[in-house]
Amino acid sequence: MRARWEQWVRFCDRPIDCRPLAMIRILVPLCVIGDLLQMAQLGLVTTFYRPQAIGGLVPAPHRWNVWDLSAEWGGLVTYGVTLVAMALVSVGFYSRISTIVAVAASANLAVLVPHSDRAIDDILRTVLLILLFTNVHRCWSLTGKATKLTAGWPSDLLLTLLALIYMSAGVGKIMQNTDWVTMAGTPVLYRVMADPAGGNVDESAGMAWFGLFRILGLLTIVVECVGFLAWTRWRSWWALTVAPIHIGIAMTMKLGMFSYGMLALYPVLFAP
Amino acid sequence: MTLGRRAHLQAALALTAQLVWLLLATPGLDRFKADMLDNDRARGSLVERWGPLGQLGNALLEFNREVRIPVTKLFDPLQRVFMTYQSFSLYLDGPKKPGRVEIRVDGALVYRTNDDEYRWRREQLVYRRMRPFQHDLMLKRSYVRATTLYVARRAEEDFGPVSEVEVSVVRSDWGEPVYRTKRRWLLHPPAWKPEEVDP
Repeated sequence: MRARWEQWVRFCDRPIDCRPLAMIRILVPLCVIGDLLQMAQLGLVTTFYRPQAIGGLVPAPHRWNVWDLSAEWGGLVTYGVTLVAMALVSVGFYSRISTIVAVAASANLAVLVPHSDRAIDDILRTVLLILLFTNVHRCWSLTGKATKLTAGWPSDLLLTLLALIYMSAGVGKIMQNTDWVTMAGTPVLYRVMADPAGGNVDESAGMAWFGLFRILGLLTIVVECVGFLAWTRWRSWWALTVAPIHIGIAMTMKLGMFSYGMLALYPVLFAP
Repeated sequence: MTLGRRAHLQAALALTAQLVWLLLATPGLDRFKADMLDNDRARGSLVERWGPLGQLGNALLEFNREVRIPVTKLFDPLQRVFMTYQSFSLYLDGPKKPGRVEIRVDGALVYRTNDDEYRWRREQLVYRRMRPFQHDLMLKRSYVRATTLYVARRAEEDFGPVSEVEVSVVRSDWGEPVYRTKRRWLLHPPAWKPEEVDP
């Protein structure tokens, strides 16, 4: 037992190249910044981050939030802090402190309008917190003594996160609707991609391609359900089969930063 | 090579994190509530119908009820601090029939979901953080008031004094642009309170 434990300790402590993780540290905040800037470009910042009573979208939540400090400015300042802190994380300026501030501020924005906070936001905040336990603050960063090595265990945690995300999505899809695999009825992938509220695929034109939608739907289920491959040495090959799904989603659906946010995590799958 | 106290601590943290994570987001089980098949009759009929597979199902549900859900609750406060809930229900299904939101300002149709002809405020309404609010209209969930109020306020901004805003949900069949109104709300100034009327 003791030998096994020591083996585990050595495994967790093994040095790995931290550049793939540093790339994630750079890319993830860029996705969040892009999303928040799009919100500003659409003129939605005050809509989201001021309470309904003074022109915003939703009433103040019941738990403590920055609107308790200032209904007019609390949300807007938090929005600004999130943007700046994310930028600092990306360039590596006191990354650890910046990460804590960025994640806390982003979480506060989520508290203000929980309905607008999607799974991808949870995922990216989680990833940034995992990176706190690595040396990425010292790799490709403005501050900190440069290093290219870090302990392996946070990278393993990221792989677990990715495996669980995809496996949950795959298993959840089958549990929600067995048509994903039975090939019965209107193809589920067609219904997802031609849904006027979320997809861009033309409803009528798409009907001529039901066979293709069935096959692509089945392939989606397969590559998602085998997400456990993220734990194996075949992970980069698996990533090559999942990445096209995200590229396809980016091209055919209106899910904003979802695809980019997920792809921003892929350097860990291609790490040596 | 001797391993320092820090390495042991790190390994313990890593092991705990991996195990907790597996419990928080166990694929499949994360979709079951605690009261799922929580009585002898339901458990019996599962075994009767599926045999050994039913027994396995019962064991998994018991594990979910007795272990996974209590652990999830234990870590709930920690997840709440940074809003990092580990529940990933990523796009599980599409609608059975396509639904669209229509907006009329003083009787004139100005917006219909994904319709190039009626695209007032379309960029805002399809923005990823706004889309769930449109979805709430279709399913008549909690944010109907918030969404319709937003629409009414923006209509006033863009069209000047407005006497009536109508927000409705229409459904059609796939590939057939014949829209049947399923829900309809009328809003009037100055309160802009959504009043649901017969479609």
